[in-house]
Amino acid sequence: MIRCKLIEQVQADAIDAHGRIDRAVTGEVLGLGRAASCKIYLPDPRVRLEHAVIRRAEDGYLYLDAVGPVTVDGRAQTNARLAVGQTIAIGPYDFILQTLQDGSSEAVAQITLAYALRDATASDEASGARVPAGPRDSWITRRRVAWVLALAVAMLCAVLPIWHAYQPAQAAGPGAVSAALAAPGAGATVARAPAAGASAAGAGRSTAPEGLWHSARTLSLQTVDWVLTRSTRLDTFWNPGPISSAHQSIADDCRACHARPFERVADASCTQCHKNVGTHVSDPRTDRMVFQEQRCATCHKDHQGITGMRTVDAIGCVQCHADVRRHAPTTGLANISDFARDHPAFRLSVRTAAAGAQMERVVQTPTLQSDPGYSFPHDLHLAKAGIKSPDGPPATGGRVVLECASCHTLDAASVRYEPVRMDRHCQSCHRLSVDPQAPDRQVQHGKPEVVRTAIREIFASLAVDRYPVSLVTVNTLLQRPGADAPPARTLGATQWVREQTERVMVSMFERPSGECRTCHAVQRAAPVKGAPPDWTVAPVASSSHWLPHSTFSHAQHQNAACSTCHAADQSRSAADILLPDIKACQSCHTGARAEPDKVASRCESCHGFHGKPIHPSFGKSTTAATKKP
Amino acid sequence: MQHQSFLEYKRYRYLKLAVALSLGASLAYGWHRSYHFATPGGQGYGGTLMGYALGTIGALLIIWLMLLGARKRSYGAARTSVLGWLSAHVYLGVALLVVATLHTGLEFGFNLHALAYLLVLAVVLSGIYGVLLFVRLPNVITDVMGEDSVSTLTLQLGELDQQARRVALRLPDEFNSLVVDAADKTRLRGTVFDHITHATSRRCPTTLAVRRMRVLNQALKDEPARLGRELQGIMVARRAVVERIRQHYRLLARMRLWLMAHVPLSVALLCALAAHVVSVFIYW
Repeated sequence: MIRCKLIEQVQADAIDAHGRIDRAVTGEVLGLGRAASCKIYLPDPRVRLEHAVIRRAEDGYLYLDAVGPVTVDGRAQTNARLAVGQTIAIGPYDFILQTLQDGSSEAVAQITLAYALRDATASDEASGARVPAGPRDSWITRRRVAWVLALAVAMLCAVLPIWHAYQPAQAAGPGAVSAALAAPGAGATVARAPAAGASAAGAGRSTAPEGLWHSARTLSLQTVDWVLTRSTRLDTFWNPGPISSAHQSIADDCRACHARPFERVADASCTQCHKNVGTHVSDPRTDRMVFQEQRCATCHKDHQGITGMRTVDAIGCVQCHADVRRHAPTTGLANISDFARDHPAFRLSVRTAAAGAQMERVVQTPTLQSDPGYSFPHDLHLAKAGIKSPDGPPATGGRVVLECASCHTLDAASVRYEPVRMDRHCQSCHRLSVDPQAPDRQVQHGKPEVVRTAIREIFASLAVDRYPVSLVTVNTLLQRPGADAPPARTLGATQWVREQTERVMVSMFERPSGECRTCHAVQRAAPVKGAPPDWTVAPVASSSHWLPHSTFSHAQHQNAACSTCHAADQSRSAADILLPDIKACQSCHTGARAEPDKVASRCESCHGFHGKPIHPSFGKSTTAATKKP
Repeated sequence: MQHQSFLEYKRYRYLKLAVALSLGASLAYGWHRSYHFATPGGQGYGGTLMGYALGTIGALLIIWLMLLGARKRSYGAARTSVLGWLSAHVYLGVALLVVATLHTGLEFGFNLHALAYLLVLAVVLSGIYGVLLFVRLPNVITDVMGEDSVSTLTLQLGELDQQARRVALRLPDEFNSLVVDAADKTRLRGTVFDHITHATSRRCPTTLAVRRMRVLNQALKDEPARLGRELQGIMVARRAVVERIRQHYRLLARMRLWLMAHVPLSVALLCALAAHVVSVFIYW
């Protein structure tokens, strides 16, 4: 228990009884502070709520424990044993310890504290003026920084590019700013040197004082010109992504495509350069009707990277073709949404007897045949044991083993196969020899009149050897121009050549397994009086491209054997269509969604959008009849 | 009424809203990227339908977030509380980062559009930094100041100066001039930058006095030596008070400095946003 007598001195310097107020406080501990709970209540802002505590230790002596700043006899202390005569300063209060009775012998420790407010003016108003203000703004204020940043962004990202965007295309070059700004007010006499600042500055110095403003204006305009013409066009800063490779040359000229501000890129911008792009539907009117809402840019979006323009959207195809009648009510096309799910069977471009010379698209079935107008059994030629050939080695009994590549060779683009030609691929075995006496001389593969001429020439040369005496050399110089040689003299040789020629012609064209009829259907033409007999050969009408709407490339399938897709070794007739059906394709290819062990294939994997001819090597009219012999 | 942080406003109402917005936008974007409205080359960018939708949401968010500045200044608007606005501002601001990132489709280049996105990034990150400051610094300030305030510390300074003058009277002139300098020339005021860069404590007369008195005291003997030590003790105490005031102001300055970045950047962002929208449609 501590008993404390407090003597407050009302007037700072009066230590007489008049100015004293005594009171006593008692407690186990005596708190000093601004809190109402403190026994020694010190109402001053400089004093903490619980600034210090006077407590009695176990040895019975009194100690002062300070939390806030306390000086005891002028020294800052946090813990001190009390002693008579000490001056304890807490904030504005100075306590003088006048009497002290403590120690283990005392039941109740007694102290007397005299205190006074050191300055009576501890009110906030007086001292408030001296309280320094908190951090204040420098000249760099939020508002100023915001203005600078906003103006910079607005100028570089909006004002100057917009100015560029609205300049006439030709005027956006050098001198544009001067032209745009100076023209209305500056009058006609403004000297506009083509070069930049220096010469203009010289001109400015030489002019009269009233012309100074003029010169300064000219100079500043030319400076702006100089900067603008030497920097890239600022509206390119709007470019949202890399321009495609083909458009690099116009990459800096936004208005090459974006012709009018706030309007979408029109097709006219595209067709300026891309003049020969085919329509999707062959009939232009239908095409316009179906695609009235669409633009080139609906599918071809630039600013999507180097290859962006070329990569088109297969999902875009499905958007129409999943329900194609909704967009084109008259179409004969089937709905399709995915190659794996609902792609219809292939329709082959076939020349049928009914269609005559025209091609017809026919749904592929296992029994579908197309008579090409000649016979060619693939199975015989691809027999494992080989096939007899005049050049065949004797060891195999004159047989050679043929492969697909013996006759079929890839074209230059490695996309499709060259047409098979008699002279290159067949004639080494199927010789067109005329006479055993001249086994190496063959006629060329062609129409009857061509063959007849060739045969005549062969026999004529043989006649020179056989009937030398019958052939009289006529000195043409001695003859009248235009007169025939005397017939009697050459009758024997001529007769012989004619007879031999006609004999061989009949043999070639009419013998059932002769040179011609091995492959072709031959008919003797109606006889004409006085003319030698003639024959007609059934036209060859093979299709050069069964699937002209696809971009199938053999080169991409070279890792597969031919027989994987083409069952040629079992084909007995040339009429067999050896094309694999869609099931064969689907054994390796799946739709747009990837599947294990399958190639994900989207519409554009096989099909193009524009027009029919897909690959240059397909030629102009892939569906026209081939006239190869 | 219990104190409620702006982060916990109405049981995290706006946090929930922001999370819902971010999740919704992310799911929509994922669906969009994986199947629907796929763009040529499979690239997502702001020009698809989803891109336009996300961009519109982002632009509206930016405009609304900027309105906090106006709301703070309109004291009459009593229907909504500034605390609620701040809470929504913070959470929706972070959600803006998600929406804006999805709007870009992660396609960037050297252009205005990437600049606008960078500004969004800078503004939101500076905002997050500001939130961290607002959460942390009040505790630090309490640690520094305890029960004192700047005004009580100033009173303490005045007191210490009085004591010091009284003691210095009986000491050589140099002590007096040091005490007077410390009282008159110690710099506590300053701009935000002065406080951040410790410019106010550069060549501080109080610190100088403490250091100088230590030297001068060595030449004193007997009674003056005791007084010298006492005076030095007063100056040490003065220095401690001065440093506390400065530390307090430094913390206050930090709480204002981030706004020096946040506010101007967001104004610049508003300009870039306008330019972005105009540019996209001028060259449609």
